[in-house]
Amino acid sequence: MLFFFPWSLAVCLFIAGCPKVERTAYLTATGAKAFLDSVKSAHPECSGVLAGPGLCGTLARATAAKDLLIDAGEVYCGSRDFGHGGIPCTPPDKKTTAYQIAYDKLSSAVTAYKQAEIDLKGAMK
Amino acid sequence: MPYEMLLSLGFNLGKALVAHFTKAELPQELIDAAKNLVDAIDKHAKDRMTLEDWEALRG
Repeated sequence: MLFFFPWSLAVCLFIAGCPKVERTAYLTATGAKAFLDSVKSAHPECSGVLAGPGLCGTLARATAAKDLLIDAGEVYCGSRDFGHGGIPCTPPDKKTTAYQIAYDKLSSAVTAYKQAEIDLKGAMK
Repeated sequence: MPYEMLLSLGFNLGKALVAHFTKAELPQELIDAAKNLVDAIDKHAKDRMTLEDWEALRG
């Protein structure tokens, strides 16, 4: 029994340590919400600005990128019962074409938000 | 991931292996470390990312 314990533990740790795309996306969106809310609090003059150059326009684009990330996350997680009574994220079957499409869109949305965040931090300097 | 717990568990795992080959009992620290690690992983997994969780991040 003790012989197998280290190996089974290693497998469990390996599995637990590999972040899934939906987890990465969700954590990115969570961090984004906190960061963008802090920027909005520090810059109330940007309230209501939806586009344009400068900090306020960049903030609006980052917020839009975050919301697109959320949209992609909800599509990826959207099983038949998703949204009813706290059903958790249920990714599509990996054997389907829909899985790859949803995966690619979610990954792209994460990348797009991260770039928007970089742009915003640059605009804040 | 609870890396401190992983390091602690690794250390205690080594002690357990030594204990095994010397026919001693499994150290209590290993049992406690494993339990703490399982609890941490379970807590991590409990964030279910429901539709409500995602929607709360909008705006």
